[in-house]
Amino acid sequence: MKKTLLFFALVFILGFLTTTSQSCSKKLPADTLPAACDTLTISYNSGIADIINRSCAYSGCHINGDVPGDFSTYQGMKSRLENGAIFDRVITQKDNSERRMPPTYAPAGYPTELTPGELDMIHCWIADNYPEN
Amino acid sequence: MLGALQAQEYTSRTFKDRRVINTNSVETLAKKKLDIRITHRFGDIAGAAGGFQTFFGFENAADVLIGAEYGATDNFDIGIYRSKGAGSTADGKTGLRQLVNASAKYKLLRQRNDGGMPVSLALYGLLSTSTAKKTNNQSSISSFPDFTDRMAMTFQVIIARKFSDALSIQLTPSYTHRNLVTHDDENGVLSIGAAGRLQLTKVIGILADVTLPVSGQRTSPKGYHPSVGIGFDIDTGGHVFQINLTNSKGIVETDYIPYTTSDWSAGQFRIGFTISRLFNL
Repeated sequence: MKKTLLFFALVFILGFLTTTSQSCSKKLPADTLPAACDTLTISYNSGIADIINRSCAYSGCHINGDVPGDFSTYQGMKSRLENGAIFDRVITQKDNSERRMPPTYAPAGYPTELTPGELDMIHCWIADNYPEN
Repeated sequence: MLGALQAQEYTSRTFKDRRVINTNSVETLAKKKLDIRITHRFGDIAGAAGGFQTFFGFENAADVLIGAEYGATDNFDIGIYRSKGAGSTADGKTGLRQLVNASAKYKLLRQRNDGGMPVSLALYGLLSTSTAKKTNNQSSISSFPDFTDRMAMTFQVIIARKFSDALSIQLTPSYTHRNLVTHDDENGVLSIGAAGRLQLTKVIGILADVTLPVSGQRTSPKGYHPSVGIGFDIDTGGHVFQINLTNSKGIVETDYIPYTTSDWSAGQFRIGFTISRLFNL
């Protein structure tokens, strides 16, 4: 009885050592800015407002209190720019069909996703501290 | 005769099964017993992803586990399981999927009825390896630059005490290590778990478990919530059947300890059940 116990204790320790020998601590690289950020000059009034108005701030969505966040004005967007919510839902979650904005369930005639160019513009704008002008 | 007397020295059946909802209990299988087990977690009952549209979560399988565990001795179990994997970080990056899980549990100390040993203690180790296809998306955990990036592991010390036939409680300090994590995350997560059983009748017991990650990165404002479960287990002789409610989607430790982002108060809890059957080999 003692011998079997010892044998399996050794097996357990061996298993533990083998497992820990395979451990390492790695992190994915940080998300990088799109290359386009170097050449684009973007502000809310110069490029972003157009994207927001046709993709977000329309009746039934982010306007007039239809959903949380009235994005028809720069002021309306500010708090959600500051707390990172817009960056999260539009940029970070862009490949997550359940969580991204604009959503897959956007009404007919409105975009269910942003184009790569539009995503780059928003990404660069937010990374640049979302200037108004 | 002497053997039978000795068997009564040690406390038996602190828990009726080797798992208490999500948490591993201190129990091990008897020698040469094989346990075939299926565990299921459904989708959210309520909240944004639940409600009648998903028939209260029954349309979705958040995680499924199927596999077997074998008692090599009365105090040493080895298990092999396959699980879907359900974890995601709070900012939407998916964790490991399509997991092959290899586990071992070694019961080091057994509680004695005469008070000589007040607790039972077991060591548990789990190695999860993802068999998912590698993706080209370099910002995804499934990009697996090295083979070992597919792995995550958990080590636990399980300390339990049977207070009476009606009540058992255990504590489970753990360490979970994921080889590859997202940029803002940490590879190692410490956690402390607690689990308990309250036996109502000979056949039915109430179970509860809590697992709390101990980490500045895993707080409610950051979108992570402690794993909390409550359920019943029904002992029908050869089978133990468990049914429970829990917020965690993932079933194995390397999944639910670092990745529970579901919030009970937002209706993001689900029905889960386990069916297990013992065979003598």
